[in-house]
Amino acid sequence: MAGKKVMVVDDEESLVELVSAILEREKYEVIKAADGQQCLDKLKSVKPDLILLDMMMPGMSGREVCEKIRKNPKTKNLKVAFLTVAKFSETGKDILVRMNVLDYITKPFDNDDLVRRVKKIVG
Amino acid sequence: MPGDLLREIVDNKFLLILLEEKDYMHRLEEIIKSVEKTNTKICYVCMSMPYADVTKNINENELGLENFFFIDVLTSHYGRPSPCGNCIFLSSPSDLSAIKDAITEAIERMKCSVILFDTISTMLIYQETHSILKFTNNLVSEKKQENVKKLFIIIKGGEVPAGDISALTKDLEMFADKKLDLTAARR
Repeated sequence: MAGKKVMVVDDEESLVELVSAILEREKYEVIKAADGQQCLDKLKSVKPDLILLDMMMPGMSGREVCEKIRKNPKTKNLKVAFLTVAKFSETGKDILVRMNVLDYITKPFDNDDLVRRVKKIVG
Repeated sequence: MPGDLLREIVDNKFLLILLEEKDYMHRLEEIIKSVEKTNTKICYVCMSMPYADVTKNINENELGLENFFFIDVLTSHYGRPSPCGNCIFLSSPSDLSAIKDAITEAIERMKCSVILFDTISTMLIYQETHSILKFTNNLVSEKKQENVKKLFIIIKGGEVPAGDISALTKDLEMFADKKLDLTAARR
């Protein structure tokens, strides 16, 4: 996994720390962002292999952040997966497909499952 | 539309209903009549109109109040409400935790099996979108309340900025079983 970058975007600091610890143990390089705006700002200078995006954040929701990522020609092809506490409805799953969101991980998650899903997306 | 509306209420547990401000009263009456036809106890959360106005509206439509239980977050703002058996008066529309507790009481003690939230978009005056999303998801994902139908009305127009309403609608749609758009463009 050396060299693979994962950006973790969540307003819960402890969650960001936990995900970072799990992924860093697997030799991923983790970029942390506390909200949607920080994520968009950091994307001006880094190009992660995957963005793990919380759905419910203050300021901008994960959906809004994802829409902005897709609208920007420089970021539109980045891989995105959602972190969520809630279950998406069938309508919601269709919206995820339209936004080209590759996966959604329900919180609280199993650590091994998180790693498995991240590996499946970025290798 | 009323027949379709009843079917949507019966078929979905988490229903978003979009209305335009100019049609609000007319459409609300249709919704109330349809909900009343489900022949279940209904918890009516008064966010846009106080209890007195809502009950007057129900009476004028010749619907029985006995099937309704109310949670009012507005009346206390203007004065001390007279106590009554079919309504919980809350002191603040921004206290999401108190609203959640009152809804739990309506479901567990009053045996309500439909929650009509009139209107969830009004909450944007008091709360950020993400707080409303978390509140809504707490309500719909509560295991003990999984058979309770939740109807959330969103009004387009009015004092809440259109961009905020659009964002809330799109975010709630991710979790709702269905979005029923009764605005002019969709009729």
